[in-house]
Amino acid sequence: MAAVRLEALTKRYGEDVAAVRDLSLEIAHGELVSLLGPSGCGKTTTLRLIAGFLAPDSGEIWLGDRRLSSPGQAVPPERRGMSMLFQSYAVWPHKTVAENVIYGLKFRAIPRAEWPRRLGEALALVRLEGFADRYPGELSGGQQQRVALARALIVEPAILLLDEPLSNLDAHLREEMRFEIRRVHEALQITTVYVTHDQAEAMVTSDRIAVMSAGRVDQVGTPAEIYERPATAFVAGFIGRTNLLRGRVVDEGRVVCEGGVDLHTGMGPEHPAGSTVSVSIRPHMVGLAPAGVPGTEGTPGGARLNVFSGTVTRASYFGDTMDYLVAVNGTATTLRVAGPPSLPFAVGQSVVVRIEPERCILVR
Amino acid sequence: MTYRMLWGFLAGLALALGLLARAEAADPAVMDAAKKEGKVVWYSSLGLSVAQKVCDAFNKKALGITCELARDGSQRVFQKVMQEAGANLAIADVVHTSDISHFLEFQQKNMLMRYLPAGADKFRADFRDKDGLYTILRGTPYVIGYNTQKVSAADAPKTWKDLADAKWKGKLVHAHPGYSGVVMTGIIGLLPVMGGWDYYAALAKNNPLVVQSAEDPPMKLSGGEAWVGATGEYNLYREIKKGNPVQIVFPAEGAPFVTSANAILAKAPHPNAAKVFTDYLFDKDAQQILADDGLYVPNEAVTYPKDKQPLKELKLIKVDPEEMQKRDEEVKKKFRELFGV
Amino acid sequence: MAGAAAGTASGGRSRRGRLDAAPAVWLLSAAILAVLVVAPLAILLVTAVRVPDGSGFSLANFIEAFGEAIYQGPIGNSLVYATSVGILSVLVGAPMAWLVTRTDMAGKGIVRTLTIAAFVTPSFLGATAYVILAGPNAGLFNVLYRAITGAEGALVNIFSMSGLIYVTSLYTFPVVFILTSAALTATPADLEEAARIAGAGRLAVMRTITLPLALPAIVGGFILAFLEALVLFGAPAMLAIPARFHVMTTQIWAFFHYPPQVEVAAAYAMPLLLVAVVLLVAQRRLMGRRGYATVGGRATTARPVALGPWRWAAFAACGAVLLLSIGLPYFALLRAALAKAWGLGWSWQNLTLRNFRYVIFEFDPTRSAIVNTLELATVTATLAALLMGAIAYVAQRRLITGARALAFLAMAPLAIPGIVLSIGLFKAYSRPPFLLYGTIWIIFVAYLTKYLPIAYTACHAAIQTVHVDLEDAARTLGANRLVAFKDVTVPLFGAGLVSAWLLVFLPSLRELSSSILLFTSRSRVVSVVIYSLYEEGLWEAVSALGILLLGLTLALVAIAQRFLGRRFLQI
Repeated sequence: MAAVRLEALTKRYGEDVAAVRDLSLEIAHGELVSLLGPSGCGKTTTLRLIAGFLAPDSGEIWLGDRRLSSPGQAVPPERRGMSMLFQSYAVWPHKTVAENVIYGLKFRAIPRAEWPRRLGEALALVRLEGFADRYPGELSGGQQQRVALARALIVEPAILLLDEPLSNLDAHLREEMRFEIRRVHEALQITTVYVTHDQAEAMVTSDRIAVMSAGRVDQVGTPAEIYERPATAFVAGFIGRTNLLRGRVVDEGRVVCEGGVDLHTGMGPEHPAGSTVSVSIRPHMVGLAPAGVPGTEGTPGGARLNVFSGTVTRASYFGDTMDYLVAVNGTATTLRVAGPPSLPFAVGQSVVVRIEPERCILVR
Repeated sequence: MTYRMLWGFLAGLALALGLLARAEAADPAVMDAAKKEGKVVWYSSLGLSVAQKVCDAFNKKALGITCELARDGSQRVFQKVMQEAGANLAIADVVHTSDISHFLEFQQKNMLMRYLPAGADKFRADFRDKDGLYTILRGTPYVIGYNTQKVSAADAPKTWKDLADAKWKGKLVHAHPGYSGVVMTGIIGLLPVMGGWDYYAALAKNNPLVVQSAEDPPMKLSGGEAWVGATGEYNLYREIKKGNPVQIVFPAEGAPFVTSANAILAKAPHPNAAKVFTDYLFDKDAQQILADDGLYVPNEAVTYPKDKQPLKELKLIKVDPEEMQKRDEEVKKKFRELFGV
Repeated sequence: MAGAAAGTASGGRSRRGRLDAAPAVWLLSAAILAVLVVAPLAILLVTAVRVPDGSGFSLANFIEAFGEAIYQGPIGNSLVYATSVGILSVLVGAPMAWLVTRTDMAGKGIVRTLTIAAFVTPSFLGATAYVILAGPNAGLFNVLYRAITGAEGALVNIFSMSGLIYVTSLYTFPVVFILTSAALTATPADLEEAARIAGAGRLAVMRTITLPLALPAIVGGFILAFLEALVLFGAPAMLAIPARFHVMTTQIWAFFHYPPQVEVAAAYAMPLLLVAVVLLVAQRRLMGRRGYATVGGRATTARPVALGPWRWAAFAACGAVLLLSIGLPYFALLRAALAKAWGLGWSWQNLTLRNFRYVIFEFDPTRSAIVNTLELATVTATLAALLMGAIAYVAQRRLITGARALAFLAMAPLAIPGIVLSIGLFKAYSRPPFLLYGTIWIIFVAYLTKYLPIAYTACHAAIQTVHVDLEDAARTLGANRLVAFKDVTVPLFGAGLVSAWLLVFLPSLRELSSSILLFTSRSRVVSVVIYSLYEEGLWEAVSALGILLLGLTLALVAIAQRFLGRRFLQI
């Protein structure tokens, strides 16, 4: 049975602005699920619905077999047994680190004698031993967020909610804290909902990602599924870089794109001929070879192989990779291509472009 | 009944009532009730330091009644009494101002309690109200003062007319008739003698420093902020007694005699205490305090300081209460026009 | 990005957990504010168009108020007065703000501190001091001038329009100073550095970047100084009346003299109200323009302009201003407060503490006035802080709908001059069934109304620092709404509330322009007694009371700055 079940949640602000529309999602025990999406997609509203700060206009939220929310009714946040991490850390500046961390214990039937041990464990878990008597004002942002994490974990919550907990940290610290969160999650296996707009953050930390746009979940899946098999153009574009080509299915698996490129894809009958689709091709899934080398000539070697001749129009050096723009000859299409820096191509150079059909993902 | 007979009748009635009132005040019942009331609120325009002395002396008697002093300029006292009456507030018990027209106004509005202090029948005649509604508590001539360090006796103004001389430009101080009853009385007394408002128009050309209280010009004179000015004699007298370099001039044209009345309000919240206090105000002790401060008083049992001239030796200008009531608004308006405030 | 996300988040909060008692809370707050703000204004407007005997409505009051030449003069005087004060305040306050925030001028700390002292000094005490210092014949300046030059005349005459403008400006320039230095501090240094790199010289940067960016604040400061002078009663009453002219406020006060013309006064007050409303709206617009006055962004601190040898010259100039506004006046007051008799001059024999004993223990009116004042200030400050704290809280947390309307009402009295408010209150509460006149409670209503905006602004600023997440964090950990409020909000918001309390308490101690129309002998306050004693020419007592008032004020400011630090009047 799922730990948390969101059933057809809708939350409106005002007459017709729906922040969350008909959203359903199940989260398994011990799973870390990210709600990923751009600002305004409804992910924070969803999180606050789960936390109980908001009541849904329709739909229900279940924690195991306990119904937490239904239209107009919500168990208050303090009786949900959840913990939450905030973007602003929300560490109380007038309390010491220790006072912050043990706060939640006051509301649980935990003998006072046990508090010091729990405090020690919680601080050790977030590597803040020795900071117990400091005030938050004396700590860095990363340390404050770890205080907040210890404070959230010490109560052994049924669900841990994280609301963009890293977005106020600087880039370096943010990267470090991603692994920290994953490490803690693997150690404790607490069911976690993680809201973020940063896809890399979601990839590193999550078991599964729910990509949201305009109040709906576009796709739920493991990071690899989301990246490799995006269901929609939005997901494909939001997760990583991609080439998105709009086109029409002319034959099973064959798409004629707007720029004029004729693509064979690995997709089958779920996209019937005549339907309009987008094709997502990751830049590093495109092969480049110098033109004129025998055996790699730009004539289609087989019916299902996409080989085009092209010209490099931009080449950028990124250290670990090269980033090219390649104009496909005879079409209006320009593709973004990533290649190894060991075999660089120059601007203006003629190249052969090769795309494996199964790397051409059809999305809605 | 002729007019004369009516007056005679009224005078008799007043006398009878006065006797009655006196009998009442002597009544221990009044004293007991007064003690229960505990305090008396005196709205007074008497100069603050004297008024405080009078109140303190009353409190020292330890009658179980406290004198609560609310000192302000005559016109402000009047304004507050009227404003409070308009709001149906009874705060003041005993009222004392230097603008006799106020008491005519009170009388016409039936705001006064008929009460004559003990011994009133022996008071100087010119200090008594014919109707027995109020009694003159003190009198002082409206005179000229000057700073003796800045101005020699020879140069000092001798007449009211001298005060308008251009040589006092920027050196003159004048209090405000819209605040001070002494000044209001002085102006109304001087207007007919000096030939009307032209005199004040001339005075205004000297750019006088316009202060509010008649208490203030003496201080401006002793501090040297002004060199000459007009105000009540007793106000100046006190500064002289303190050793300040101020001298008094009784102008040749005469000095308007300012009489300041005292009465109990009909709606006094502490009527018995008010009676006890009024008796006190006019008894020899309190009257002596006033006399020592340079005031002329109704109770003839007092002894005046040696340097005070007897009242009858002074050339005084008598100011008629009805005239004051009639011209009150005119004075405020004309003063505003001529002096700007 | 984070900002945009936060936008969604706060949108998500707007309907959260509406209080069940919401309508009741709203109605109660609205009712209190209506009584305080709407009622006196409505009554004022009705009074202005009513025939005094109550027989109907007409414009007669306006014709009387504005038709007569003697009542027209004060309007012109007020305009000249307020405009000059505004300009002078800007000329002094803006350069001082620049020197303190943007240069390496010497003694910046002491300039800041003394400017705050000037800010909390009531101008009527400044006026009193200047009568002692600059009276045309006996004022210290003129005595010295005559002694040194042998001249006959006076160097300065404080009893004049220019004297009045001068004294008032000495105590209004801090407003410009505070607003301008806030704007200058908020201007990111890179805006100026960008101009330097583009080739602008230091002066060109000042002219083209710094000044234009600070301009809304400077103009805003001008407007506030202008309004302060326009509605001031004390200093004009003390300096203009002896100089034989009225301004509008003293004229309104004169309308209350017997026979009182309250209706004419109400009509006469209309321009004051109108001008105040228009200017405050203008000021808000000006200061509120996006990306302009609220320059915003995380400001890197500008490298201070090196003044070189001018470091000390600049300090001397600021010092001179503060000497004139604080040093000399405080000295004069102290000297007068300690004098046996003012006329006796400057000698050791003339020293005494008698005046203090007199005003504290012996003189009935001051004794009761001190008690009344402390009582009024305490009750007003406490109620204002609690009421506005609650409204600021629910408005910021959007716990109830319509909280913004309450906030607007709370800010509205900013545009109601004290003396104008008093006319409305007098009319509203001097007759049954609402008989407050004659008690200190009518003055309390005036103070509370007058200081609602200060209290609201302070509370609003304070609650901004208590992020809603701080409370929500406690909620998720198991604290219910009340416990979270007690554990988190109260301790964090508390300092802000204390700050708001003080910001109301301090001006309540010295309020004169509302009190002067509302006091009775039973309900005097210290400022009114000071004014009455001034009218009688009792310098020594005025000064002694003034010194007590200043001492209490400065002590409270010092304590507050010590314990509340940056949260209180720190500029």
